[in-house]
Amino acid sequence: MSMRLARLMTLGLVVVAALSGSVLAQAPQQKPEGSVFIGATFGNNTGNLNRVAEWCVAKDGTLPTVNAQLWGGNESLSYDLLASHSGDNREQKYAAALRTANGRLKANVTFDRFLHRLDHDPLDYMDAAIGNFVTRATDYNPTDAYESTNGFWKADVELAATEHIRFFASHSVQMADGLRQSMTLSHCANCHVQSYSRKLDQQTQTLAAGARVSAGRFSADYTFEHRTFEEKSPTLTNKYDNAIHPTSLLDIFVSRVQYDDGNGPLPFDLLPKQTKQTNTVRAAYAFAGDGALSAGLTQSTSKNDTGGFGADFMGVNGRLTFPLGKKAYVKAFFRRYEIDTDSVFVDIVEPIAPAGPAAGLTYAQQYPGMLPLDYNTKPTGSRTPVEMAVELAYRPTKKSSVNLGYAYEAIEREDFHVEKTTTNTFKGSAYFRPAKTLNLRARAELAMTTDPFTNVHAALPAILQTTPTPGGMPFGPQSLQYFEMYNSRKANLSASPTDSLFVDGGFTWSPNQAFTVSGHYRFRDMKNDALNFSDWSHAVHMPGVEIYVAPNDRFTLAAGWGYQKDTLDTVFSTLNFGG
Amino acid sequence: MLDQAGYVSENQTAFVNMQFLAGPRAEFFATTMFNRGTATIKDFVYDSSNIIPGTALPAGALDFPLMSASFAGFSDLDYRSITQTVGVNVRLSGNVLLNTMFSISDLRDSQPFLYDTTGKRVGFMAGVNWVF
Repeated sequence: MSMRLARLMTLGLVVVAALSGSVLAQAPQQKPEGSVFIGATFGNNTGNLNRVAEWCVAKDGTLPTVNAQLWGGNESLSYDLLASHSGDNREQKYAAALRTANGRLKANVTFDRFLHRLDHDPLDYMDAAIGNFVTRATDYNPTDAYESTNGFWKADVELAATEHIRFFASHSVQMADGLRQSMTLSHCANCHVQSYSRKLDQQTQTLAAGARVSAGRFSADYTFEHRTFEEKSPTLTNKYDNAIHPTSLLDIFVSRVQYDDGNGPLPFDLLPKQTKQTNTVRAAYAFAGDGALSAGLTQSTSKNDTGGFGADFMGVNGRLTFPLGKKAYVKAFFRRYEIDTDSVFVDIVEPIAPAGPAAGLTYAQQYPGMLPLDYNTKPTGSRTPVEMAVELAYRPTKKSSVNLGYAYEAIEREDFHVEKTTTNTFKGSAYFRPAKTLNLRARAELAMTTDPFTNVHAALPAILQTTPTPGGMPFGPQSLQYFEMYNSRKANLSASPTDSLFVDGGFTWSPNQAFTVSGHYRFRDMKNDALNFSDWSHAVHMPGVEIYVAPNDRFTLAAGWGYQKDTLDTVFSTLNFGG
Repeated sequence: MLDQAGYVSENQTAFVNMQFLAGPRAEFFATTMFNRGTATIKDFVYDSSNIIPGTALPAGALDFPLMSASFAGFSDLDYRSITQTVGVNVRLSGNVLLNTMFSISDLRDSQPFLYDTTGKRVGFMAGVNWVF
């Protein structure tokens, strides 16, 4: 976080505190309540803190700690203030809430800052070689500790202009500053991973404003939101290794890469500036009785400002609830949205080999079978999902209830191998209280999917070359090329199920106020048997139990145990190829 | 090459939380949290018969037992963490309290993935709380 922003935030909090104090002075006297804590923490650390203290400062040594709360008010004004500082700037929290003008004006300000320790991959397992063919790594900052300090600022205000109209606005900033690991890779003559420390100075700012109207059974609101993301620290650059033949070390491989040392330092790990604007309209009508109808429309435009491309979103939704007599009601839900992502033109750099069998040629000139090289990306993220659901809730007695539901989802994609995915889901749940001391609950969900999301032709290339090319020279007529190998892949892969079953059962037994025990068992079983070379399945078992004991007014005990076992069965594919 | 294999992960979490009022001025509390997580690849076997049927690879080109043993082990995980806190709050007067808390967090990484994350923190907090 920049110092300027920190000062602005501090100023904002002071203004809010001063405002509340000023307004307080004008209100009828009432004694404020609160607390002030002054203390210290003493810590001693050993080993690595990246897991044991991943989300806290946990400083080795002593830190002062201050917490303060102040709240109070009367009919015309109420306030609630909080400040907490751990003695380290990376861990602090402030909040102020104010209600005045008989509740017509509400304002809230919060600021929270905390640490997140990040991994530093030592890359010490990389070094391997067969002759000149080397896989290696260089960490240019091996002793740096990686962490980000994350700050969240939010201020919102709501004003009731009349009995029927309210205006609201908010401003939020999400900040991340610190240092993290950033890696890039040189190909040819070796696989060379290079690691750098990357500074973080990120800001996601959101401004929103809107109005809400309500009249009798009808209410509606409109919100406009403008969001930006920006990484203010400079993008890293790397000078890549000279692209040469890995075994002979001859300078004949330039045409096989997009860039090498001849291009000088090149940027990598570039985080583009992004902008998103969203318009949301919602309306609701409450029928006489318990019925209600609501609908919404959301339109947004996202843009990668650095690259000049983006995505459009348009979605509508509706929800209807109506009673069926006194013991049952029906809920129906509909949602349709469309995501349209831009296509991007990819212009392949085509260097010319300086020597060797391809001297004077680009790679495509040497292997015309790879053409065309330049292409427009297919907007595979574009899709149009439609969701519909209906649910019947029935409560035969005060001690029991039954819910039955059905949901349908269809996802259509124009530019992806899987053009339409359809899922039918049946749901049921029940609650039963056979005695005052015992609750029983159960639910089940069965989903069947046709053509789930699948990476078509993702693995298992055909066996096109069974003996290595002599000398590792990939220029002969029998030498298999990367593009030929990739184009021959046959196996479809997916981690999405065609069939999914979820069941959940639980109980709570509370024979008296001093003892409660509850338990649950959840099971999920998913499988995809529509793949062409393998099966995929994922089963999850999740039992758990909790107890609460309070034998007298002076002693309480709570304990719990939870277990989760995930079993994934899938295909493991490894490529044997040296290109 | 390909093989149908499994990836199994298990996680157990347990906690005990106790609170004891020792007279009108003192409150003792203690919390124990335990977590154990493991993960490994199961039944992973590369061999020439089911991986590349009908191909005559040069002798010694691929070391299937070594690949099967080492590839599966790359994904092994085994974490155990214990956090213990104990503390006492003492009312020094009508609106002044003394808060203390001692804590130990201990994490053991028995199957380091990329690097060993074994670590421990011992902490003590003490302070005076004025409530008005």
